[in-house]
Amino acid sequence: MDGNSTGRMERLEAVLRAAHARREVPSPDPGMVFAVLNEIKAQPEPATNGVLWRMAAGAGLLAVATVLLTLAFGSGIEEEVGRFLFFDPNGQALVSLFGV
Amino acid sequence: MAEALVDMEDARILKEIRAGDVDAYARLMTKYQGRVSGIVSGHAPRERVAELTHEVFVRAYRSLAGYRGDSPFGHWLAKVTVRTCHDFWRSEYRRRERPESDLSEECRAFAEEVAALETSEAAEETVSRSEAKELLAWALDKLSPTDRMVVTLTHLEERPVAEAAEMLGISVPNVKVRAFRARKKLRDLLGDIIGA
Repeated sequence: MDGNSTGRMERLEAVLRAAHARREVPSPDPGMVFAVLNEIKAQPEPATNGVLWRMAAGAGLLAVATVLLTLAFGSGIEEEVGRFLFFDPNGQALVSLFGV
Repeated sequence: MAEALVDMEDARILKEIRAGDVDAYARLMTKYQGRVSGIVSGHAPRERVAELTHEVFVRAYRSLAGYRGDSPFGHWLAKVTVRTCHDFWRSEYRRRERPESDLSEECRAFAEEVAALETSEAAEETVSRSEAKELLAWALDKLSPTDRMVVTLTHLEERPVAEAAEMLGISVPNVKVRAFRARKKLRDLLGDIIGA
């Protein structure tokens, strides 16, 4: 961009800034205060606590699922379970599992 | 000393609200309504200003527990206002179908005319024409919701980057990068119009 182009661009940007600075601000609505108060009174308790509890529960579930997945597929426990279920001639694993 | 930053009248009203007097909030709204409307009108279309101002005050009331009084209430409310406008644009961009709006021929001619003027001061005198508003709205509409907020705060309102970052709740480096890129995009858009 040469000096001439820069100057043209600066003038356009100056207009944009001026258009923003001289924007019209609507006059305050006297009814708004009452409307806001009515809305607040209709739902006085913010739902923030509920949201936080749901977020905490979600994070907890995610952590438990991660631990279970790691145990099941990362530690060889699935092989142990399979061995007990399918190669346990006396059914000791089942006896142990069901408490028979 | 931080407490001294808080207007005593505001502090008294906030105490009443925290004690359960919801109606006391009306006094704060009356005091700050003009200021909030002014900020909102800098970011949102004129026809949405009343609705967003309403939303700002509802949101501020529900977030009052987060106001610790370490800055003036007006500053905190300004942050709530800017973030509400940011959320407005994010939901608006998601919701609306955004056909690429074309700039009118009159507006293109206006841009050419302004670019050909001798000085920036002379250019600023043309601002009362409706084409100036159209050009501004068109250019901002081409940016992402966050970029348009960043450009408005840093470029159009010439606020410091740190202040814009605090108002938007994003990091200073993020604002710097966005401001640079968005301004470049804005210049490219304007350049296409005037053939620069």
